[in-house]
Amino acid sequence: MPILSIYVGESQISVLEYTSGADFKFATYPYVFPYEIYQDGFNSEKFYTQVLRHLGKTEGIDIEADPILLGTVTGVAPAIKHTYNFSVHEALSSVESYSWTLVENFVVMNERNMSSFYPMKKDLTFSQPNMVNYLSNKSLYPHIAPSSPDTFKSEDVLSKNLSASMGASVATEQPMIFTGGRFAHFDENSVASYLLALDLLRTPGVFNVRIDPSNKLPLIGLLNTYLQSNEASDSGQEPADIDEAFEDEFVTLGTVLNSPGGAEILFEMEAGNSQFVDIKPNRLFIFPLEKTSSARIVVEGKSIGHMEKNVRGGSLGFVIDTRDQTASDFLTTSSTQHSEWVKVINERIKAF
Amino acid sequence: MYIPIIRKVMKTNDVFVERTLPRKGELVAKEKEVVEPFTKLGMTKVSYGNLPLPARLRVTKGRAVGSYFYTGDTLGKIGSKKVIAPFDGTLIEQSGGGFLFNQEDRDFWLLSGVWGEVVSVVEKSSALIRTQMLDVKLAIATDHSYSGELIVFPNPSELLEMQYLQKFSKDSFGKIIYVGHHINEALVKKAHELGVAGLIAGSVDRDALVAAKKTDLFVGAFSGFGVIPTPDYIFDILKGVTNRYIFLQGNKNLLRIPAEKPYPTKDIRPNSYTGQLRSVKKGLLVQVFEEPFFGWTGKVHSMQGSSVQVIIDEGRDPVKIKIPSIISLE
Repeated sequence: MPILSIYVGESQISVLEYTSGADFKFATYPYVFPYEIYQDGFNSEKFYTQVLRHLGKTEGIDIEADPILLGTVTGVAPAIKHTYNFSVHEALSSVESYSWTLVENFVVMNERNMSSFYPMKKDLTFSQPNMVNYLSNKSLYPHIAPSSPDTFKSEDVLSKNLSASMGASVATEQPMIFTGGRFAHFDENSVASYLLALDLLRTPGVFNVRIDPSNKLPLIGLLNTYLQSNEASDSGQEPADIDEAFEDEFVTLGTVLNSPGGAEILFEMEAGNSQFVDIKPNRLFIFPLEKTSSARIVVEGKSIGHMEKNVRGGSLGFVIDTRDQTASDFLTTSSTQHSEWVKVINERIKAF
Repeated sequence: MYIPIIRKVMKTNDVFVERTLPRKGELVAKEKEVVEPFTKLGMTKVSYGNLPLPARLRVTKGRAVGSYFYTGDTLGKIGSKKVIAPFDGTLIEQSGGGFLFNQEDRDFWLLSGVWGEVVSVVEKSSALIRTQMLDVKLAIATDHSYSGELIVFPNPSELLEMQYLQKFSKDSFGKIIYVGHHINEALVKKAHELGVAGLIAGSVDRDALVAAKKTDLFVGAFSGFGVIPTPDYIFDILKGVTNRYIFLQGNKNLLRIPAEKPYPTKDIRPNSYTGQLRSVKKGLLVQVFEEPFFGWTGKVHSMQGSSVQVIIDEGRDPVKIKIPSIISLE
């Protein structure tokens, strides 16, 4: 009997039917129950029952699987039949091989902190009326997907602001992965998604960065939480190597050197050639470095001191980020400056 | 692909409406009496209008606090703007600052407002009527609940909405006004100044909603925030309100239009209604959420993979909308 993981995010529902490390299936339903807009006669129980039946019929998901693991942002389970219920924080924290940041409509969280802002419950203070109207609409219709550069920007300004209020992210040697409903729109605007990931990476240091473009990590976390539990061993479930089974599900951005204030870098390729660069403050600079390639860097950074590391490439390559990352900078960044950063990432993607 | 349904219009039987005198008086309605919207249920004396005015009002020379003004008299000036009395009444000073222009006590006849049957009465005070309503769901509403006469503007452009409101200013006191596609903050302030009971439209700016919540003005929008047109089928319903009298129930986001006769059972969706998702098919009425048609209503023309071709304007080419940027409307 397969195990079914269901993650009800703030904008979409994703599911994982897992039988073994070689036999699993993901599916997504890109809507959630719109509490603000529904009226008498409609309820979340009927809505989710129909969604699961739909996924069973169209995606071949076994909705009668046992056990059914349910994960939500708050940990409060909606009316969906389930065996075990976990908060997404609990689920993601079980994935030991990654340091993570989750971005949903109005919530940003990582291992240590969480910050949320629900626009209909408080007055928005951004000065741009279009942004305020867009985010308020997203409260009414939570499934709304960003579809233009402006709507991506509206969502991302809120996420960056929430992240800024959480303080620095966790400094870790593990790869850093960005997940949640926002990154499920990676394919529609990968440049905005890369830039958001870089903006949310608020700790000086060197990081291997990945993006979860289909909201799969919460499901993997739910599965992992269950497989590590006593209930799983009591029922005869074998612990599985989750990391190996799912490692190809994510986009590897590459390595990011986060050094606010500037850095001098000696970049030595495997082939033996080397290059020295002096990156001034408030710049974004990208070395092309493919996912399968690696290099050695020697860094002298204003905020990170002396550092020597081996780094690996990815879909962007090796990114040197010397931008200031105070909270106010996210909200007051000029559109010229923002366009410049978009251009840097765009050019690198086109070059690949 | 199955997408969620939002039911904008619902036919509802067995709605209970309590009609209450604003002050104890004489109630003439009897239990089991069959009533129509203009049936008189009872009468009392009341000043049922007042106009709050700021402290910076300069009262007209020769007049003072406590003076009686006739409709059309100049009460005074706020800055360089004249303030005209919208009704006969007396100007008083408020303890918390500012003024209040109170309408003179008049006979207040409580009308039924609905077709139905009186179920019970509370002596000298209220009558409970069983009736039926056409309910229109508002996407956004302030919490106020009012009933009153509906004025429908013919969807003027945003620039003309204010002019329409001013043109109707003599008749707008206590009324519920459908102003067109959009409500902005300036319109909310003007409507409040004129003593309008409620503004409804296709959409509302978030700033305007915040401003309205600080007053007793009802504000509601059918489609969402920003500038979004009212769906044609909703506008047609508003135009067709036969007795011009409607109910606003802000806590349930409902605009309720009295219906003459109970609806046939087949037209009523029971509370156990389970169809909350619907397959995308040609002709399906949908609301789209992609620029430049964010929030607009259209009809499905065809499906192409994970995209849907939607006709927004009849006679124009369909536009491509990606799922999940549509929902089904009913």
